[in-house]
Amino acid sequence: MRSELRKMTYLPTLRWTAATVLAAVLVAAAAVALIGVGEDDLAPVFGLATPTWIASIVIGVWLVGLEYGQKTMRRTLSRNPDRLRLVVTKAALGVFAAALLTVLATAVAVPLLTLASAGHELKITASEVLRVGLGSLVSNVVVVVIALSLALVTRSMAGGMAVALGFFFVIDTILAEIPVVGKYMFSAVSAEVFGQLSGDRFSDRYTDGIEGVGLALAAGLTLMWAAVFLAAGTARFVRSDVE
Amino acid sequence: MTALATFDNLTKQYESGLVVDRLSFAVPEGQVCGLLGPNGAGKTTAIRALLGLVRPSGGSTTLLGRAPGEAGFDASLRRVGTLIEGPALYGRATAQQNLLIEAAALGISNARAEIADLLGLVGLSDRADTRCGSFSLGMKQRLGLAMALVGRPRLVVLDEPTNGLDPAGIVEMRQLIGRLPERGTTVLVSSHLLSEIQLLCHRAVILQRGRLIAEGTIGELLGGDGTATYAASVDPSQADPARDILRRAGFSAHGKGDGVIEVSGGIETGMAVSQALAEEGIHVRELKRLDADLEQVFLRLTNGLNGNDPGDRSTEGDVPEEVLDAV
Repeated sequence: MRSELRKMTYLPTLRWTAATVLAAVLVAAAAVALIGVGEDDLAPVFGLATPTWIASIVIGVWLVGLEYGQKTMRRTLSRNPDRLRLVVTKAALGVFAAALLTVLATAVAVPLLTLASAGHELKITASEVLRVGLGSLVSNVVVVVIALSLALVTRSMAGGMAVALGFFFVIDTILAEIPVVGKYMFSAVSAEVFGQLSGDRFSDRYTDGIEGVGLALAAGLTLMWAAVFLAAGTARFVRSDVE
Repeated sequence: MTALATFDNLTKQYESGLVVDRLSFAVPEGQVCGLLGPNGAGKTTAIRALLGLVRPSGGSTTLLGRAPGEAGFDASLRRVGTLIEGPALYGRATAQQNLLIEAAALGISNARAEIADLLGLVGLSDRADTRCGSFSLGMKQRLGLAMALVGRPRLVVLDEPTNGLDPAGIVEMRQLIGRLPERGTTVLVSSHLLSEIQLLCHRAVILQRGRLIAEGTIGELLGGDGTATYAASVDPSQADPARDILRRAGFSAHGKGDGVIEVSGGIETGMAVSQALAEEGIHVRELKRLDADLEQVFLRLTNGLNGNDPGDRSTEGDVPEEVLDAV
């Protein structure tokens, strides 16, 4: 655990990711201050939810892809050969990092977005931004685990990133459109969880066109999908030779 | 003598073919053992199997008495340093940070003093805070060796540690490795540079196409009588003092001009010559065994053709008796 923590603190990727997320919050706040919230209410989504969501994908893939990209996996495993423990450690640290980043971004976004919208007729309240932050927090800790799992399957930084982005942005969105079963796909159930937690103002945007299954079932299915991906990634990692 | 690593009929079959074929040998404690053979001979795969990174198709290995997957293997692995197929470094971290990550992986909390020692040993003290992504290959290899030595391992496993190094880097790496037994560290080093490793190792195992074709001490493999003759090249201005130092060390030494000294006697490994001079501050530029070398032995064992089936013992007609005895 300590060596994995040291990698996270010594290597600059997480710092750059956090800086990019905070920059996105600042840009969103500046946009709100200049042109207002707008009828689409997109500022909290593009300023907080989307950047932390993409950052969680980056963190998840990076935690595993780093070792393949730098060819350090064999060194890591030749010190600690328990592969299952390594997966659990990296997943735990990924969840921690994604959660910490989401909380930090929310803490910055709450005062900035509320202040930025204060001069306009249509305002964003602190509680609304907090609810978006809460929805993002729940969504991101699941996304980071799935991204990490996809990197374990591909065993590569570039491959992991390509597959993760392809999955989250294209494949899963298409799967959610399948009649009858689409509502049980990851993007449908995770969007429903996010929408329910984020409040009525933002729910429609995320659940538009999706036939809901209810918050409890959606939360359960979201966790189930994360478990399925993690199991597949772990099985591939544990059973494979390390080249 | 205790064996720190053993290979017992190790076999590894990939879809593309048989890479290691019933390989059996042991690495005795306190020695530098060479695992030699041309590229593709199965050296790296054998080492990966030893470290539990690949699963054998047959046979087994042990590391400090424990087999991969067995209770206690984790603890054994923590007493073993590795440098496999080049240094595996985090390029965006500094040399010191890479070593601190390694120390943390071993559960060593206060490693700063040891890390300073190791950086000094490999000549990187002044680059401790430099990101190692900017290092030359030689510097990366030296840092990789330092990482392998964190926690004072009983055994270090070095896979092609001189790969990509220039001649000066090769000499430097050879001297670093040669000093490890003095620190109580046994070495298993693989290389395709047979004559290079011959200067460093007490004993060697030669592989071809995954199969062991010769094993023994360097003297046994070379078929000699325990004596050896080397040409040591030093700065011409230091040739006379170097010759005197070697004579005082018990060797027969004669100057041959241009800084070349012919050294002969009961020389266990070429490292004995360079160390005797290094202790008096004289740097050996080049060291070459004159009377025989492993490349010749290897070519004789394989009839000069790497493609020969090593299992075809009909090729052994030209092999010296002593070498066959050592197999």
